[in-house]
Amino acid sequence: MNWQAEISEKDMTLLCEYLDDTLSIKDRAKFETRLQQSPELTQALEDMTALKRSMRSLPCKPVPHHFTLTRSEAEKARRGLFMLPTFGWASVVSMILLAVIFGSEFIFTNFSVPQTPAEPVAMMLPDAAPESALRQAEEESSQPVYLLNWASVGGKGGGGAGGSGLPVGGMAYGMGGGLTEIAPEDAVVAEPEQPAELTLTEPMQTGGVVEPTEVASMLSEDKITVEPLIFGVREDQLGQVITIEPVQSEISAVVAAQEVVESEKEPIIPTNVKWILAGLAAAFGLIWLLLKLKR
Amino acid sequence: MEETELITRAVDGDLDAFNRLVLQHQEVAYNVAYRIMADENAAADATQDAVISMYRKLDTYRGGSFKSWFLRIVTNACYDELRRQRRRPTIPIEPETNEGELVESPEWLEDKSAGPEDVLGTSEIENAIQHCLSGLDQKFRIVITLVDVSGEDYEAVARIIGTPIGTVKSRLARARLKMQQCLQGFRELLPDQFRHITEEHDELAS
Repeated sequence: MNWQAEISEKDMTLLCEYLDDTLSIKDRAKFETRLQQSPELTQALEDMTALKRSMRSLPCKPVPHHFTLTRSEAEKARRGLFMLPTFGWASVVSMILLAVIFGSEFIFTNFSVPQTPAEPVAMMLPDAAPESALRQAEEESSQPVYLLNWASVGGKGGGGAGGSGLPVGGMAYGMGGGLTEIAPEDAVVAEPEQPAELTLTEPMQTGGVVEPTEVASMLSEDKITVEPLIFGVREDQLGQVITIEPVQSEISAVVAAQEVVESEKEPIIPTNVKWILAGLAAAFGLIWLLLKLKR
Repeated sequence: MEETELITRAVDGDLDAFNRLVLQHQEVAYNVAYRIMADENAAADATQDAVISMYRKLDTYRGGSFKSWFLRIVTNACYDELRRQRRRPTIPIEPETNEGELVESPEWLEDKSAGPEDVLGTSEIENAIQHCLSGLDQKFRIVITLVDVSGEDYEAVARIIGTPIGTVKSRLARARLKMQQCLQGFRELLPDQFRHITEEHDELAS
């Protein structure tokens, strides 16, 4: 009788449970009733009983040798017991350190204030990031500065020289024409803390140059009188271009800005340390994997 | 000495106590491994790996049936060994002809007992059963081996293979059904009852 197509999987499961005597008394009674009514189930039960009997009658294979452990085997097994987790944890710790380093660098790079009070260029450009200062300084240094002779002397005032984004220089050489009274609070930009910005003094021979120290001393009084600074007036060179060159102070500003940017770009943890950590993590992980596979 | 005392001493590092536990259970462990692996050498390797693994994991034993716990380690070792075999497949001595047809394996032809005919008959049945067992999917093979060969109950098997008891029942039912279908191909070797069934089956089919 071909009962296999007739019996559902659920019935087959019940039949196995009946055969293995794991059904409850109630379920067993119910199944026995069904057995009496279904010749397929009865046949299936007979076949399964024969199969189980055959399986149980399989001879027990004698062991080829004892599987007991010698002292050395036991020690070796214990050694392996420590090595596997040791290398595993070492690898994990290295990976965590590496992740912490990269994470902290990411946070510092993206969420920290870009300038510090100790950096002079950054002080001069409080609203600009060092990168933008560098860009601006580079743009300006790439453009030549024209220093022109003016046709008349005095009384013209003067613009900031170059308006270079370096406001101190601009203001310092913007004082031209006639006697000017400068209130100390207005002159604070000419403080001698930025000597690099006062390098245009050399070609200005005619009117005399106010040295930074002099400016500082003058600023100590309430009201000071500043001798007029007359720029670019040389009788013998009227109408001529005296010089066209990048202003040295701007080059130095570029260099300083570059230093600031580089110092900011410099990683907190040296790159070598990161490579060593990455190498250790990979090596420990590899050893752990090899030990795991060997086991 | 009681098994519990042996276990306690083994956990404390007494190698002799551990080895006595191994001697008590090594036969059942090896036989389960042999039915799962269908190869004596592979079964011996799996059993040895299981013993080493058991020694390492002794401190994780949390009571209950020690035999079930050991068999769980043995079945895991068999899984690992089968995975290794899949990664590095070996070439059988005589798997098939040039046309790709299966040939009788040397083990099938082997006259192990060379004794009376009834003993020879038992060996043939055993080989037929082992052949059908080997053809089963790994998860079915382990369940039917543990229940029908080793004699474990459903709960123990569920603990050993780490599945719900319902899964054990359903796998066992399907395994037995597949075994029944497979053994019909060896009807001339089987007891009368099997022969009778398959003959009826053939009559119905014709």
